[in-house]
Amino acid sequence: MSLKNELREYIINIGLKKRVPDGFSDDYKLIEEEALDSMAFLSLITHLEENYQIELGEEDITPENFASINVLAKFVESRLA
Amino acid sequence: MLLRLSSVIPYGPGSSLLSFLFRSKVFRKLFCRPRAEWVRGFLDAVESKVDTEAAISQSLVSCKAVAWRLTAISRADDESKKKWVHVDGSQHLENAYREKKRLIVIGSHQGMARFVPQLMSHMGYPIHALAVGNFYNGLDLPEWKRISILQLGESSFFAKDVFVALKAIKSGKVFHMMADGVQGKAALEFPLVDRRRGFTKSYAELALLSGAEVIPVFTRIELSGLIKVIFCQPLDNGTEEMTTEDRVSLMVRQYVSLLSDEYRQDPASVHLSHIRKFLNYPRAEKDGD
Repeated sequence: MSLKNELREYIINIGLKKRVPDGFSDDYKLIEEEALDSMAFLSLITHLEENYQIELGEEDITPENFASINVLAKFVESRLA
Repeated sequence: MLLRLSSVIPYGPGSSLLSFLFRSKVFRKLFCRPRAEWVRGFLDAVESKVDTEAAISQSLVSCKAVAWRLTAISRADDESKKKWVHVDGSQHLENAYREKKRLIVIGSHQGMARFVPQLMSHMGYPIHALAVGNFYNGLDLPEWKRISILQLGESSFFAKDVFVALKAIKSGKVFHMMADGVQGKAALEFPLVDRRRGFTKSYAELALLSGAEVIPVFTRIELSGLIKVIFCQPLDNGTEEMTTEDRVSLMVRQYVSLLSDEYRQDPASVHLSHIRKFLNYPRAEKDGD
């Protein structure tokens, strides 16, 4: 499974179905549309840290890095490189 | 300046002086008429049997000269601290912290609530406290120099605050926050005594994500100045079979039930700003209505 698809699946599974339209695009604005509440956000961060062994710092937690699936995937790739 | 001058007054004599002042009918009539009306209304609302005049005096103790109290108790010797600060339930803290090293302590706006992080730091716990405003900035408290502070609202991105809190808990710090705040999003509604209001759920969410226990703490203060700190048993966080939403709701419901008991048992310790808000909340529907 591609990184984008894995992230999409995770985001859907953490209980965002009610707030994210079905089949949302990889450019769907997760932060701007308030699709991620604090609990979902923390779950996502924990998932990134545990599944991709990325250690995130305070400076990484910006709306820009989590703006959409596309942006988030790029961010994760940059940290894995 | 006033705080600096008053900080040389030891806790015992200072408390006696304030107690004398706050008992005085003349003082209360001159300076505290609106407060007295609010407290009277509140005692009626929670159907409290405590003496009204004593409650008004105690209400003043809860809210006035807090900065002086924090400073004076910090400077007091061990014997005075033992005399003026009674702690119940510290074994709940010890057990929870020893077992998991992941702990959230939730306070409420009553009594000497601001004293709790200072007390726990004095007890040897590494503390990360959520703070609103700059109350502690001007205070010379050695305990606070050891406490990390998460200033709520300082970050423009909501997720940064919760991320910092999560990291602090996972690193073994005891995270302290207020659970009955009226700022920000009130996420879950439960009846507080007989009124309906929203409560934050962030501590419950943080607890489930980090695997931390949540311990409520109540801090009464008597007219004499005696501070009683009561650490409760950890909140029941449900089972793995339950949904996260249900587990969060279970925890917040337990806290609100404890807070309701506290409102009934010691109404005079509830801070005036919360008394005023309480009296303006809509009545909760009774079961079966």
